[in-house]
Amino acid sequence: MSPITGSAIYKKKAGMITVLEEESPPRLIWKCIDAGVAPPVEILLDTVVTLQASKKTSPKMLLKIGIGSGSEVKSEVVFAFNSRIFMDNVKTVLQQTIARRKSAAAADASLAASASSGRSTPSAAGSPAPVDGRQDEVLADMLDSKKLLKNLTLQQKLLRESPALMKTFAEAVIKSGLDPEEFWSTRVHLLRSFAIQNNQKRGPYNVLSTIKPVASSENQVNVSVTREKIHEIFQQYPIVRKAYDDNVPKMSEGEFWSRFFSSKLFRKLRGEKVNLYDRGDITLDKYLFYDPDYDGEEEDTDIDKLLEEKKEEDGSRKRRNSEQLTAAKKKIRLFTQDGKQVSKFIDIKANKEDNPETLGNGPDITMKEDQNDELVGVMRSMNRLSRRMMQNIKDDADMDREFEEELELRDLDDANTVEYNQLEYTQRSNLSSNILPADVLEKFNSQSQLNPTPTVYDEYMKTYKLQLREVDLSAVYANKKPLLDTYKEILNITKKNAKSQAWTIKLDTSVEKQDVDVDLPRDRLEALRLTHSTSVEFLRHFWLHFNSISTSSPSTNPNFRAELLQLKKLYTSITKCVDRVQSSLAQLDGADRDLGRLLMDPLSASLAQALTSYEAAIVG
Amino acid sequence: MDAIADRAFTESQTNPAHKLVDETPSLLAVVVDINPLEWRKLEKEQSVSLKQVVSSIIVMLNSHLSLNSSNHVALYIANSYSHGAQLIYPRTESSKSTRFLHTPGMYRQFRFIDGSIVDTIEHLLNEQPDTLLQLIGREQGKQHIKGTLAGAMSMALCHINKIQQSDELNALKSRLLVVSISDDSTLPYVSVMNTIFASQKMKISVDVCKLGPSSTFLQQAADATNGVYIYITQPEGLIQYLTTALFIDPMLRPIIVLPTDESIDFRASCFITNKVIDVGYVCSVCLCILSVIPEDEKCPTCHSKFDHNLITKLKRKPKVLPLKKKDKELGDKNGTATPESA
Ligand SMILES: [Zn+2]
Repeated sequence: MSPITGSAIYKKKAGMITVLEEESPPRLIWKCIDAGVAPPVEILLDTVVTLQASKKTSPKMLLKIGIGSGSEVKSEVVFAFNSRIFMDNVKTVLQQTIARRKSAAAADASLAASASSGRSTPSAAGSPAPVDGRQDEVLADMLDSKKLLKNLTLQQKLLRESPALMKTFAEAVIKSGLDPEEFWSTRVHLLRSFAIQNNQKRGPYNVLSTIKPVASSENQVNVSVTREKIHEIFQQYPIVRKAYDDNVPKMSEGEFWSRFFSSKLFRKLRGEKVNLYDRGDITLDKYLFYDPDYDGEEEDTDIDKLLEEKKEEDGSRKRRNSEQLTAAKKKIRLFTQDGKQVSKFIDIKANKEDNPETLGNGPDITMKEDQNDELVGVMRSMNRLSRRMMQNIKDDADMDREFEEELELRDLDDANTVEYNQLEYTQRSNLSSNILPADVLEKFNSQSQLNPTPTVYDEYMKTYKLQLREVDLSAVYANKKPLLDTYKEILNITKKNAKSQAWTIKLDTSVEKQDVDVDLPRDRLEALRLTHSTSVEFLRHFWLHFNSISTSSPSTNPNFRAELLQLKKLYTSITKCVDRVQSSLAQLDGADRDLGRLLMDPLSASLAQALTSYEAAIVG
Repeated sequence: MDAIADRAFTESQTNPAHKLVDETPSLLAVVVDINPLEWRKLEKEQSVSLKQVVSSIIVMLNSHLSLNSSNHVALYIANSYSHGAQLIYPRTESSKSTRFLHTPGMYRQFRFIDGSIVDTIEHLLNEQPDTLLQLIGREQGKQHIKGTLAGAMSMALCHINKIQQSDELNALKSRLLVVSISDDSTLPYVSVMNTIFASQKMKISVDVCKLGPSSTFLQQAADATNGVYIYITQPEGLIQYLTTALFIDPMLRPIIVLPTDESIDFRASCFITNKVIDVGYVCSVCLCILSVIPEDEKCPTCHSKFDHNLITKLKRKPKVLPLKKKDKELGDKNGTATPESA
């Protein structure tokens, strides 16, 4: 698409207007024909706020452009035209550009709003910040367990984000007096992952694979793309950017994406199989035949020439092309660097007799003959995608080093010898116990061999052997009662399972845990639940200390005495937990109490176990 | 611009649950535990006999065969004292049964199969030695009779595999039913686990019909293979269990809610004592499970030497403060409870 160019008069001086719509940022440039008489005027289209043109009926052809920021107009520029058609062209282009900018701004604003409400978005969407060594250090420093335990801000933030944890914290620490540090000591992992979560930046990913068109009823596709994703798509698939540049605003932005997601181009870029007769999109599918390697950098040795030609026919691309040129040149230089000494060891041109007897490494899968075209196509597009993603991350220095490392020959390095540890394997566990009952065997072995009495086996064998003498298949049950009972039993199991399965599904889909279907008043259930989680909290700390204290002694652990006291305190807390369970059960009556007891039984057993273990340790 | 609609998209997701279930023939393999002295116990405690179970199973097999003319069945016995695990049906050598099964008007094919099954099992029962002396002799080291239920399950899986590899029957879907009466100590843990993995890989559900003591390992087998584990509370209604809860075709499994016992005990068995354990030790090299620390401080399975210091640490008793003043004094005197003396 060539830029719109035509004559216009500015401050009574004749000149040429060019609208560089495709440049970034888009600009309007006016140059005086007689260079030197008046300085050129450049207007960034992003700063255009108002636009006024003289009426069609009026003989004058004036276009007034208001420049400013927001809705405020700071200055005005007036051009006079001598062709209404050209003026209208300029006007339309400006209108479209402004409209596009406004919709983009609206989308950005909604995005920013969603970002600030929770999810952390990388500040510059899609362009990952360069790996910042200092940042890493800060994070590593922050993740230190001791620092995490001291980081009150982080802890408070985590509590605010997790209501369940907040509840436990309130109950165990605030009400029941558990040491906050103690509380967090078992949750360092939570703090750490929370800290990482809050500091993490997202790396590049294959963006098209994350977009899944959902077929709704009536064969409609619903796809939602965010600004961020569009940015990623443009970066990873320059061809889409090109298609977008070429077609928007000829078609609306929404229409473009809608067409794109149903086009063959989309399927091809995603690596899906594209059949010739599939339905696609006529406008966008022509980009299928574009050079798939199009990414704004032609790796052609004739690039200078090519660019020279282009420069003439398409002045507007000059700036971008010069960037491409340096990138391409840089690349080419890597391969054809003259004057630099190439080590004889790796210089294949150095010695014509250098042909190895073997053929060397086989060519890459995409370079072999007789390959499946589809497979090669997929491999190529994957390689392209990876290359683009890598380009966005790595700086050139890294690329060079990587390239050098690739060239390095390692086959003469000492081979690593893998050391193995020989294991002998004895399968002594896989024996079943004797299926002869031990008591029968013992009796048999202990009795007198001279005068043996018949064993239970001997006796039973007599009837056992006769079991199948008479078999009546028409009488596999005696009466219908057990059949009915069995039927009910199976039905009940099935019903119960159906219920619990439905419950698991609900659990999977919803973020907030659903209530268990228990026939208890809600507040009572809630009270039991709270007692339960608090007790578990204390049990956790109890066992932690109980088990760790056995391995330490006053000589190895300066806090030994304090920890013993702490453990004793936890023992007391657990006895209080037992009381709490009892009292919350006492508040229930009748059938509710039985149900409550059933729910709390495992907990009571755990509490009792903790108490017993402690008491046993005192005596022994 | 977030919601883009277009009519060009025609693919729609189909819910797998609503796929039509076709009538693919299936194979039902049954393993019956005939452990004699366990049967003696069951007869006494639950008044259920081997005869009852065998005839109910035969009726179940007949039902399975009558559902589809291309259906197949296989029957194995396990835990026989003198035969171990054995194939009962189909046998290669065909012996015409002359037995009259008290079932006038029975379909001829069934009569043939049923007769052959009853004959074969009775023959095996009759081959069991009459006395314990004949069975195990006097030599104490040779009196061990191992459990063969896991073996029978493996044999059944091999049978299924053979059929699935054959040209004409490879589409056959299969399931395995285990009728067990013995407890977990008769099951070699590793073999059972391997059987479970094999079934999972072959996508064969293992159903368990449990009489006598309940079984943790068989529960796990059913759970891992989308099978049904059901404990028989009323043996008189056995036929009902067998033809409903335990009669679910493999094709139906993904769709229906199974009447299986969902409270599964996932505990493992100790490799030394063969007992199910709650809390134990695991060898970091071979992952074998131990309930006690071996005396020689070596893994019994892979012989790796355990770290002596670590074991000493593990063996150390926890140290705690006494609860009351009085106790504390006592502890000091005995020199056992206080940390200083430990
Ligand atoms: Zn080991």
